[in-house]
Amino acid sequence: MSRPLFFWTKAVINKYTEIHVAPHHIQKVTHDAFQIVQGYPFKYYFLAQVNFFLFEFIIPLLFGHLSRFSRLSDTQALHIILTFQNTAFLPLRLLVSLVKIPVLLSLRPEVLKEAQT
Amino acid sequence: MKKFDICIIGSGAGGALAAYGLQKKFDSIAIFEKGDWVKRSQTPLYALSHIYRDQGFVSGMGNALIGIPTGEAIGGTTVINSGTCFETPKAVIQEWKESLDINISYEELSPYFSKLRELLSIQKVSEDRISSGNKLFREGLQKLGFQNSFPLDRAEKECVGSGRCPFVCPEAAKQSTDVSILPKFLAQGGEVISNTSITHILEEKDKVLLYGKTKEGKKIKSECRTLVIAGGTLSSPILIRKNRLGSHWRKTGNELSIHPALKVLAQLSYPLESWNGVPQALGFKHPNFPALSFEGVFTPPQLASIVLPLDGKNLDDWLQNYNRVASFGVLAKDTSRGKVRSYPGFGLWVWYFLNQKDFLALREGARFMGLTYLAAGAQKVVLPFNGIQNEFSNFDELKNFNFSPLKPSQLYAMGFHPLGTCGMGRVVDDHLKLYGSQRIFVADGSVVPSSLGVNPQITIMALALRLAEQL
Ligand SMILES: Cc1cc2nc3c(=O)[nH]c(=O)nc-3n(C[C@H](O)[C@H](O)[C@H](O)COP(=O)(O)OP(=O)(O)OC[C@H]3O[C@@H](n4cnc5c(N)ncnc54)[C@H](O)[C@@H]3O)c2cc1C
Ligand code: SF4
Repeated sequence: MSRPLFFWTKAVINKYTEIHVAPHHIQKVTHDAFQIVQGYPFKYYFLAQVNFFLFEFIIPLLFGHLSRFSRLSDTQALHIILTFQNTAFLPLRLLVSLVKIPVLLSLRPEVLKEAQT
Repeated sequence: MKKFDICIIGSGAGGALAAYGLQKKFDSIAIFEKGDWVKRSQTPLYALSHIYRDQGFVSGMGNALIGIPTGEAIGGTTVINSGTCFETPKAVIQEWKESLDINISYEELSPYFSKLRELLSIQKVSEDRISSGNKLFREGLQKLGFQNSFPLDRAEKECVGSGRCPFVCPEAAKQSTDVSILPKFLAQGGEVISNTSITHILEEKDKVLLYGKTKEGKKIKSECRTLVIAGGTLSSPILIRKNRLGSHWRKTGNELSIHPALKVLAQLSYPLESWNGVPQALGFKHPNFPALSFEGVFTPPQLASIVLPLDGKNLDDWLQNYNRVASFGVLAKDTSRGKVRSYPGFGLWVWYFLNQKDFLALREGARFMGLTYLAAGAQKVVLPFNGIQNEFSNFDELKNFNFSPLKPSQLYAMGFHPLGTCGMGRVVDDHLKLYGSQRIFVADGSVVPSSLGVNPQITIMALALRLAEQL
């Protein structure tokens, strides 16, 4: 039986997928990404859910957005991701990696937005 | 309860070779292995999520975040390694003698190196199987005036160059221990008890008791006269500490070296399909960077997205053009050290602090790899850094770029070769016997007392064969 995922986990994964993936491939990519999080070793599964909560509800506030992460524009969401990725402060890099990894592992070149244009 | 002459924990480089060597002297030998026999026809993602410990999440934390992958399968990390083989460098053996008073000579290890050449079918990569990304790097080196790249020695038989050695060789061509050693061990009556994790060890006067559990949660108990712990550098110290084995258990887990490593990717204007051929085919030593070893690497397309230090359009561009991408890696003979601990409720935690010397060497090694690919005609290269410009398309710009603001925490680094956490002279003696114990030996990467500067499997295997002969 697969483990449950909180709605905020699904929402953040969906948003990050939207940044990279053409609309008609999003469902497949997010489905694969959900399965990856569900299959994490328990401690990473647990950490990931907490992390996705922070991303969905708290982190946008720190960037001055009164919005959930999943409701930001692609540009705003990517700005947050890139800021965390480019920081020298390790815990933030760790947080952003946990958001990105399930989606990145589900990407194939042909589903990317750029490939569709 | 089953009784054996010898029990061995772990079936990787150390455990399998110890078992093979000991079989000449002892009748009943059992290997306990946490993992299972690998399935060969799977995707790289499957290998990452099923064979890599904690799905590849294990990392060294300190002033940098450094992934430290190891394998959990029959064959241990040899199942996911690149198959590259180096003898222990003479200078390192000398270093052990001089600074750690370890009484081992190159001449003593030499017969084991020869034996391993035969057992693992070690041979140089032939020109036709060198991947195009490796060849391009060689071209760049030649343009920069270096003629001294060399084909690497590898443990392989009838390799077809399918390019996925670190994600389980689909052809069983790579001579990981599950292919080359354990079938011989089984044929001679040895036992491999898979999917079984040893958790508790009790040393008594005339025997050692092992307690563990199977994947399904069933408890097991075994007894042996002699125990060889070969769970790998990240696991063996935890077992020894937890069970307070020997007299120096408090020292286990310290002095971790990992060969911190970086890789640079290059994008060409024409297709390369670097996934064809042997990904780690060529090596190179730069005269100005004696602590660095350069070796080919290539991540299969399915996992490319996680190794690129990019996001947004830049990431998409590299992913879409991955058939035009080449890559090469560098590892440092580290002077930095870390430690391995297990914390209640969390489990394994690895501390590692990259010192300035290693950091600067690696940073310059990455710059050099970028320059080499640009000299070979790459359109652009991406260096494994974040928070600073990391894509370059101009040779002079990269050559003169000021990377001084860069910190270790901004590296995209890996450490593929954890060593040293039960080092000879500190936790075990020259004969790999645990100090203060009569019946327990250690034979894996953890006993290698210092950073080698070269890929370690042959050193680990040679020390295991030597132990088997001396026991
Ligand atoms: C991606 C990658 C590429 C590499 N490439 C090369 C290369 O090209 N050349 C080279 O020389 N080296 C390479 N290495 C490193 C090399 O493979 C390892 O250093 C070597 O295999 C370590 O041997 P070991 O015996 O210490 O441990 P391992 O080979 O890791 O074996 C330890 C085994 O013990 C088992 N175990 C642990 N704890 C328990 C327990 N409590 N109960 C039961 N079983 C247990 C584990 O599941 C594992 O199977 C590479 C490593 C990686 C990750
Ligand atoms: S290149 Fe392919 S066939 Fe050769 S050893 Fe590696 S995975 Fe096996």
